[in-house]
Amino acid sequence: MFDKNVFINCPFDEGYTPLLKALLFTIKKGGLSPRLALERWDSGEVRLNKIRELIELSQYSIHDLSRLKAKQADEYSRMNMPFELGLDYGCRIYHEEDRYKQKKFLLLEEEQYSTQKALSDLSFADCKCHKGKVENLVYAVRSWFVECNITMPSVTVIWDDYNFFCSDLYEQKAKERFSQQDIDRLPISEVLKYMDSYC
Amino acid sequence: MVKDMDTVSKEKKRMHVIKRRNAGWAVITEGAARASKIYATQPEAVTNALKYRNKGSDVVIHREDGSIERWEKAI
Repeated sequence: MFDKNVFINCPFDEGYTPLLKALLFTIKKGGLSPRLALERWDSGEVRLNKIRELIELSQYSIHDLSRLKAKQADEYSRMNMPFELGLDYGCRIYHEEDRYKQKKFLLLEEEQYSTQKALSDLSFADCKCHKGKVENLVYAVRSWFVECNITMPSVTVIWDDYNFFCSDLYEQKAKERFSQQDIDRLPISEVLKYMDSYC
Repeated sequence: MVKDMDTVSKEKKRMHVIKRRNAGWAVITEGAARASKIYATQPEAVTNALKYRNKGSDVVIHREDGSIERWEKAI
């Protein structure tokens, strides 16, 4: 359902995975459905078509622009996130259907004011900084949902429950002889299925 | 096929050591409304949480990101 879907546009690298898992859990605690490119894996599917479909299915969007700046020499900046934000913004402005005018965005960044520096067209936008800390991200996302009139448990309840969920998942997978590394690297689609049965 | 999370055994009580935003580390019984106590550092919280192993609780020590760092079984 359009008013329950949350499009997630964020880095999919290993360093971001802990943030992504907590983000997905927070969304589920709000009774909403996270929608992201990793929810299904089909090498035959054109990625841009999938992104477009997810954008059009979602009233809410969370765009994390934490990888605008290269961290070392010769590393390229990641442009997928600002590109997909542009697509989403375009959908809200240009789409003829009224429901797309109701789209709401949350912009996140790791380093404060980095988005303004790299993307000055967005200097009007309020961008929440999480400093790469999972708890800060949960706090920012929960606060935004509340501003959108979505009923949410407290940050402490969400955070403790997320930690308990991690324990259940760990115990379940350890019984199935998964190593610690295996558990940390479970595909996001699999983690999401466990969250579905937990939340 | 993903197994249902209900298959996870919760017969034993679990104590958790969990990071608290801007407030140190909490020792909390799973399902409790409030933390038993908040400690300034993780090692301090772990030392105190491990005492609950003698009372039949597993102690689950979490990393800052919520994932599992260590799991100490009840004695």
